[in-house]
Amino acid sequence: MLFGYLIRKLRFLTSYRNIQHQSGNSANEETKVEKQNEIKIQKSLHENLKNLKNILCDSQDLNVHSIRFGSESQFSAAIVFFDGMIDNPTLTDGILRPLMLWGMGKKEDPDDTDLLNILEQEVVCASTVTKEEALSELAAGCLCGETVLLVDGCMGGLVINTKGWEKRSVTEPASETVVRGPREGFTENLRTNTSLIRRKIRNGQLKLEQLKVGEKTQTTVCLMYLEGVANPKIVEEVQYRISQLDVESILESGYIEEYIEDAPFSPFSTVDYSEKPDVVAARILEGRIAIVVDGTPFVLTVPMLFIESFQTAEDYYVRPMYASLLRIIRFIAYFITVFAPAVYIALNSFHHELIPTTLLFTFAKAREGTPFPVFVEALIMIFAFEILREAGVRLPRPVGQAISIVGALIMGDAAVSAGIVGAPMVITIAITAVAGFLVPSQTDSGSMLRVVMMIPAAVLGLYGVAFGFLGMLVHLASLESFGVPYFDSFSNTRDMQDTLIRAPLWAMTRRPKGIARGDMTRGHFFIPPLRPFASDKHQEDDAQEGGES
Amino acid sequence: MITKGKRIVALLLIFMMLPGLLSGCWDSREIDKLFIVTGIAIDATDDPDQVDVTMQIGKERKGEAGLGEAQTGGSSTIVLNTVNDTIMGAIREFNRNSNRKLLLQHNPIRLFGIEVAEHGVKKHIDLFLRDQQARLEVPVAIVEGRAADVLTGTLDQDPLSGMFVAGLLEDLSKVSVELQVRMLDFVSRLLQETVAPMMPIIAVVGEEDKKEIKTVGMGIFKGDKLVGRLDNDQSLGYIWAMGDVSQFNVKVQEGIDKAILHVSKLKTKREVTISDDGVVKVKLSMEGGASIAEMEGFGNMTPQNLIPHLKDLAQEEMKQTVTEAFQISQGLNADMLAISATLEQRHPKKWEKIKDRWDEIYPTIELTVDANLKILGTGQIIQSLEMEEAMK
Repeated sequence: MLFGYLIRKLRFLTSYRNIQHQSGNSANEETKVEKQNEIKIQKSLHENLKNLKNILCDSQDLNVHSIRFGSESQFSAAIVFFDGMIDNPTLTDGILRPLMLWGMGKKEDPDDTDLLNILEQEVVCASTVTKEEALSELAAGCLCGETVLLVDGCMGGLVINTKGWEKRSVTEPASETVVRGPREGFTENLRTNTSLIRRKIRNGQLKLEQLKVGEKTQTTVCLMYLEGVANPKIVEEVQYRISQLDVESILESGYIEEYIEDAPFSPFSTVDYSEKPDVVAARILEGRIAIVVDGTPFVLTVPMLFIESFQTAEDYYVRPMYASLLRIIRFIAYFITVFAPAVYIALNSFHHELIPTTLLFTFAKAREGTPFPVFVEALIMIFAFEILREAGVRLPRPVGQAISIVGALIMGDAAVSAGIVGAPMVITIAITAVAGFLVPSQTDSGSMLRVVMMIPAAVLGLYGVAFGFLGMLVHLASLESFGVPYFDSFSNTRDMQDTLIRAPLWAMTRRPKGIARGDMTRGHFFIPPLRPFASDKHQEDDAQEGGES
Repeated sequence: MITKGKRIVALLLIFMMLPGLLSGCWDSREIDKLFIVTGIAIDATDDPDQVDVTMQIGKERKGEAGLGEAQTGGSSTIVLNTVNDTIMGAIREFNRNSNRKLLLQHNPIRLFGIEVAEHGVKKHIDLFLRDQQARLEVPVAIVEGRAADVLTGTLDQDPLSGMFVAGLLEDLSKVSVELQVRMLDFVSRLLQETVAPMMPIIAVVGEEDKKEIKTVGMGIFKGDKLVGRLDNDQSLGYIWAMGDVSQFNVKVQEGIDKAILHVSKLKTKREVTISDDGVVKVKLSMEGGASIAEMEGFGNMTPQNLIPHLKDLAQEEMKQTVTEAFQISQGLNADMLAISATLEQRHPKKWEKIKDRWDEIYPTIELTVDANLKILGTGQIIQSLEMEEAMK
């Protein structure tokens, strides 16, 4: 609610500024556009090459290879491509070889107008060959890793798909590991990623929409969703928000996330992401929309509900009872990671009567001689932990190990025996830190909120903790992701099947109410066969019926 | 009309003010700025208007090394002692003279010196009822001699003697709820004018460096003054009469033959009748299951006739103990079995009539005790080793 107000205010201010900005610059921009359109393709190969090089700033990695072909080598042509962006065998076998061999023993040579068409349709062997007449299009083709074939005397050029560059192969994702379940993860290649999803959902309804975002980077962004299952309104909203983007570069899906999320000032993310095709496929099947961005293995999915952070891929691969247990543990862990330091501070500075006497003596002994108040002590420990964690992530692996050993020794033992912090505090922070990793996509919100919660706890005790908790709940309940309330799964009984507990798959027959529209049924409810050889009996029945009829 | 902007600002203000307005408890105190009180003892002084207050502060519990350090020498308690005209005054004095504040919530025991108990405890318990920090569930006890001795002495059993006494009484309460008297129980009996409050008595025994704490019985109050006592055996009579005892032992003796019977789940029904001319009769019927815990002698008996015999002996023993305890209370004219309370509940009209004469009636009450034990088992063996010869 508060954030909504802020956002509206900001939006108004920026739009106001943009209007002023545009009115000053509009004349300038128009001339620029015209100037680009001016460069047109010529008949002369030499001219065309010069212009093309000009557009591409005569970059050093631009390869221009002049060739002559035809029965008497009467045609001169040039192939233009960026070194390293193309696949050399395709170039040789698909373009060069056919060109060289073509015309051998031919009597009649085609005239210049037909030449390009003949080359396109009869000679060049590649998956896609398109004829373009604008130099800018030819340049764009080059930038995408395609090869441009220009022939002297022809008004136009061929853009031939020869894309091929070094890429990482499909490996197990480092951020989401599973004990049971598929181990493949997305790569940096967009096409690989979309194919990984399509291989999971072999259905014609799986629709893919492609957009180019980023003025300079021209990054391809794909929306993938199930037509007839995803809510068309949400699809429209996502398309609208992405099309509204006016940015220079998109280097990672995080860029997109930041521009399209609903609550930019909230500690809670309203756009979820995953590195695993099976997770994204499952979300698409629930009616969500996946946003695949070229150049990153992290695929965004919207709308996001709060409960999504507590669901993992493995929840659906192990048996439901154990999955439910894990679910509950994850909720408790998140609660611990946000509130444990706050509660510890509150108990230590206000509610001594709530601590069992024996434990109180232990606390008192540990507190004896420590120099700082418990709040400052907690801050120091959390700060130290965050430093160590960040160091562990950033440092090269061999050094990282050394850091963790030093960190563990300093934090765990030396600090306590030197009397800088008490041992119970170390235990509290340790469990807080470990619990935070149980809910990976809320780790960031957890580490921010635990500091926020400590302040009311230090000022008001447990009353403050309760107050903070209430505030957090109010904020969470006020959040929305693409028009779907953040707490949607808790608000109706049917969607509760996949919240605190994970119902058996055969009982989850309907898609989540808030997200999907249209085809809501996933399957029919049935209880797995209890009698042995039930299927045999079934077949017999069928056979009998068949015989009778 | 309030605009939306104003409403949000107002909401924000309210949210920011709420913690300050609703709480006001800025009494944050770190644990290292507290003295954890593990016992309070109240003793009499020569001046009847003054009170001698002793508090035991626990520093650490034995065996909880905490940080893996070697146990430091020195005492694990601090004992504060002062003479003041009120208990609150004493607490204020303790707080004034130290950099720490007393934490009373965890105080597990309140002790009264026998002299204070004899003079009356009423004026010393007001604070414990009034103060928020002081809990009504805390057990109370009388100490033979000076109560402070329990807290000052270094005990072999547990350096934190206050915690130890509390634990001791807690264990006793598992035998019978009547053996542990909490402040609440004491005061509620005190408020029923005709009922005599009870309080366990403990004593410090042993030499200077080998002190031990023992329970020695129950003190019987008349009003708020200690008037008499039951020793440990007689106390059994009291708890049997009150009923609801989870387990205890009865010792029976016949010449040189001895046996201990373990009785569990004793239930006592009481029947109080009052005739029109004000004669009160009380009938107690006890029922419970027993098993043989230990046996010595009875060489001339067979197992078949031994069990009924033991049962008769135990029943007789129980009857006698209860009667004896009751006679002591009649001698003190202190209604420790709360018979007056039963009368008030069951015969409210008749009670109104005899209420004023209760002190005259109580010594004349006729008590009949009926005990009915069931022998449930003989333990792992049936006959004693001495009996074997008789079998042959």
